[in-house]
Amino acid sequence: MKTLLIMCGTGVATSTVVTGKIKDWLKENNLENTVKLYQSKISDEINSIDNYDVVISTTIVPDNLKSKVINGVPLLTGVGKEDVFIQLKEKLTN
Amino acid sequence: MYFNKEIVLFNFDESSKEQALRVLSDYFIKNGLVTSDFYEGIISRESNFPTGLFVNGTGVAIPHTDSEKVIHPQIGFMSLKKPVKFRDMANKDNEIDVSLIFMLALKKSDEQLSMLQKLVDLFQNERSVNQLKECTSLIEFKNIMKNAGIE
Repeated sequence: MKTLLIMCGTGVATSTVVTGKIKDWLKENNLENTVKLYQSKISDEINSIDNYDVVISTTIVPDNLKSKVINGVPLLTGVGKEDVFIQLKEKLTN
Repeated sequence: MYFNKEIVLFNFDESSKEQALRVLSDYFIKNGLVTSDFYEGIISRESNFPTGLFVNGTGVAIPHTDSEKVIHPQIGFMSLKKPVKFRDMANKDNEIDVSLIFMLALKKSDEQLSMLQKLVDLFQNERSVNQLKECTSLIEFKNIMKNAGIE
């Protein structure tokens, strides 16, 4: 079971939307039983990012974490959302 | 229910995001929807984790803050005569000219999931976004939101 963290600035609004979109996508791809989802705010997770297999953020992350974190904003604007799912699939199925 | 206090403001002429957010926040505070430090929460969130989004050629912002400052959930809307600058949610070095603001006062996340999904879908619908930019009446506004499934 892989772990996937979805985080935003407050853990209330944008990460909620992205969590919903990712749940739908996992279902469509028959991956829902292979991933455990966590939703949180960045300030609570900044030191525990390494505990998750995959991290998606809809907010700015510090430079030293950028390589570990997928930018989830395209799931909000619709522009570039396929790229997000491609990255996600790669990380979840590797 | 998200618009029952009718904090819906059209074509406001604000010189900065701070001014626009102050005006909106004051309506929330006056209506007893949020705690008195709501504006400070909104501004601090905006500087650490900005909420500007550029969708289909239009700048939209969804300022919000911790749910502890929220007493009753509500959404406030403001369209701007001239855009004000917000920073980009994805890239703090990037500024976005925002003409539509949806201020979100939200409590528990799962209750609001479907509303938030619909709001984001609305942003991705160019026709609805243009309707919102041109909208000047509360009835018209409520219709646009109703068509998007948000009430």
